[in-house]
Amino acid sequence: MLTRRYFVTLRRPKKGPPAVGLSPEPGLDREWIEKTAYSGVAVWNRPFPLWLAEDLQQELSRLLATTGDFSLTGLGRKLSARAKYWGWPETGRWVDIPRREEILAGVFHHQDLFSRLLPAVLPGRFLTLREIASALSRAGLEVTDGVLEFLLHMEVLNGRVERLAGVGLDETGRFFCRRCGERERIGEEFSPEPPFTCRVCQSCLALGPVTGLQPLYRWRGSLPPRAAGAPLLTLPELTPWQMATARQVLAFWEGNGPRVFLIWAVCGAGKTEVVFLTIRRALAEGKRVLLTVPRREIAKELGERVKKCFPGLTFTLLHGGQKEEHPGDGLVVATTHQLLRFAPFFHLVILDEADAYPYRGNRMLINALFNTLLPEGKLIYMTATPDEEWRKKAVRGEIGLSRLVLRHHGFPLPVPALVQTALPPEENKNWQVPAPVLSFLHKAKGEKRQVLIFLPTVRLTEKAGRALQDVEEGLAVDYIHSRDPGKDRKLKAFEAGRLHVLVTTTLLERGLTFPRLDVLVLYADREGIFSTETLVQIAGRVGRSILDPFGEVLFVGEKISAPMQSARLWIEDMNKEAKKLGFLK
Amino acid sequence: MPIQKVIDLINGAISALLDLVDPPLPLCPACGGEFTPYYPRIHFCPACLERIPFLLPPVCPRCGRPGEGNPTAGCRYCRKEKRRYERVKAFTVYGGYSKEILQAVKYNFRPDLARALGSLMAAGMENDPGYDRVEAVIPVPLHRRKLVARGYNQALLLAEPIAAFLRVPLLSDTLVRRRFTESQSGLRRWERKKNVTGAFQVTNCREVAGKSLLLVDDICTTGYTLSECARVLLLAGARRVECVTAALGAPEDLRDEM
Repeated sequence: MLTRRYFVTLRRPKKGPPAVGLSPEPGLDREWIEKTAYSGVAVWNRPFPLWLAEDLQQELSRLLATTGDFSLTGLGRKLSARAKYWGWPETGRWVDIPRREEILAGVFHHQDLFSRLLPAVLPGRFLTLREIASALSRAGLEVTDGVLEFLLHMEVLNGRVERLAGVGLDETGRFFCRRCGERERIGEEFSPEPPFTCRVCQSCLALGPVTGLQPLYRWRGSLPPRAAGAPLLTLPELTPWQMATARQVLAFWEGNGPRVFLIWAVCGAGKTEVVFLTIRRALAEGKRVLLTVPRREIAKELGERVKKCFPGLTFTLLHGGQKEEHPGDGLVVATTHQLLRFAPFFHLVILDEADAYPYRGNRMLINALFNTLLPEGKLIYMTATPDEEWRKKAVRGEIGLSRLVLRHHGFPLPVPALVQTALPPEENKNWQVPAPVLSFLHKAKGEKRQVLIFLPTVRLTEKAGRALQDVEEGLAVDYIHSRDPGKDRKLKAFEAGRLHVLVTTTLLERGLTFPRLDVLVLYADREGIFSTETLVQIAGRVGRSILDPFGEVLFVGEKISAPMQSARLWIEDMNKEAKKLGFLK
Repeated sequence: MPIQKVIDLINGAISALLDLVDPPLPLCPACGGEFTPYYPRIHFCPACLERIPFLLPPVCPRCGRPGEGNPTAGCRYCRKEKRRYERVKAFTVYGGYSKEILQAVKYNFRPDLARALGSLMAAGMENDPGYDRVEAVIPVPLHRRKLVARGYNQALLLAEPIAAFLRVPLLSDTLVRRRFTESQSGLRRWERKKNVTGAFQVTNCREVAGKSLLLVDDICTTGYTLSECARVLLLAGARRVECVTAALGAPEDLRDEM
């Protein structure tokens, strides 16, 4: 679709210097100034793409602010020179604009309904035109993009909405993406208008393109208040050690100490239930809460859990491919990628699985998370395997810390056994199943337990999966990895018990619970893939259910690597500390 | 700052006088660039004209699709179809730049682009003596609900320059859409036919009685919309109905062939 271009306008007040603005259609500005203190509006008769128009606006505003008065001709000369610098050699002049009835009729027909619906749609968000259009159509207003742009322009003139080019220029004249902050990966693509290029952010392309020609909108007015009221909360009974952590989190929420809190809980400790009390308190105070996780599957599961624990509460669930929006409510459950579409909006942000891919080490998502937080807002991280950096910060007291070292059933974590043995090299065409693996599988089958086998690469997963499928009759084996189209089906089969053994990459390292499970990690000495945190998470898959709190974990490698050692040490430390608490069964 | 105002006034007067001597170049509505207008009725710049995929002869004189055809029997595409109108003439293929322009017209509020496209169509009809006997131009109407969502009827804007060029009246209120219909895009062939049947109504039969009419629309894909309009107009007493459209879309079942 052809993109709209923007005119630079000068709104002249009765006294004082003119105000510089942008307009997709100067006829609207002309209509608007009739109700305000301005005496007239002059328009540069050559439109520009949005990123350039924005730069020209800044340049002219700066000139007017520093030197006071300028003649129209002088301003026009400056504007032409600046536009020429960016490759727009056309000359133009300031003109007055006629009234255009056809546009005004289309805009004013919808304006009442639009200005009523917009405060429910836009506050707290940072959206493209298409996203606003789809949100409005869900709310019951159907307009074409063109009319919507004019309606939004009227709100921009009224000062309720801010319009920014998706990819704009920073102070040093470099292009950057306003949504994700990317500066390096800004690609050039063909556009039908001269100079026939258009900057597109490649970094957040998966959420819909952001270009230099199309605007992003955000709310500038005051945030609408939320009705306070405590929602109904039905929790399973919390153990004493969970209650202790819950009290600490509540104290953090009410206190004036550090603004960041870390819940360091072992895998399967029930840490999500612990923060539900705080969420309830925050909602009761009329605050807005965001619950976010890096992965889509976990977000879905989290949504189900919130639905179960807060019966009757309407909340927004956002993840790629699906949106359940209920504007005006206080709780949002979203994947971390969806946070790019938010402006500062939340009083309490809770990040679950804080060290999981793709959040970990991703500058874009970390920025997006901090960007959703209001200046007075607070942040809670929840993880089983915090970074070195966070642990140090917690020791220094910069962030609050609560440790949850005991699982909810009160049994200790299964300690992994480290096995050093020869494994067939990865390049082998016929991958032979090593003898320790076979004996492990036999034992598990005899006890009617399921086995997850973790392998470092996709190729190895396929090879080992095929080899294991042939090794014995009556042993149902399958393999999955992230690129497998049938992974949902295979996971369901494993959950239902139709598969005995599932060979997998680190895809399944977190978030899933299977009863009666044993875990085997092959090539555990590959440090690039099986880091300490990953190994701890993998070991945490075992013994989560109260029906079967024990299980076997085997780390098999050609040598005993440092992460294997430290993962075992980590788990033993946790068990020791739990013993000190005195609740260990 | 009164001196400043005087200077601005003088400058404005000088630039207005200069514009009389050396008028500013017009802007192309599609790409926004400056261009030198060689043909007075064509509002697009040469670069854009080159990018628009025009439908070149040979085309079927009945359904307007590319290929040899007979005025009465039609071509191999339209031989089995029954249509109420006499013929369709399309100017471009719906695709590429033409698709971009028409989508901007429909969804991006570009009435200026619609008018420019209409004048391009009018210029194309200049050399066709078949349009001499047209007595009135009728745009395909929009439902009121769609009209307020879009802001204007793009077929009406296309028809305005055509009527002005042919020097015949433009009957914009004569044909109305009685029933709200879903957008034809995304429907199958039989669904499209069912969708538009009974959707139109003639409000004033006397205006169309005995006349040779020209229907104007933006896109013709299967031709069911135009045929339904023509049926209603012929029932109201029109003598003959012809159609022109800005673009010709390939229907689903012919998409690979054409």
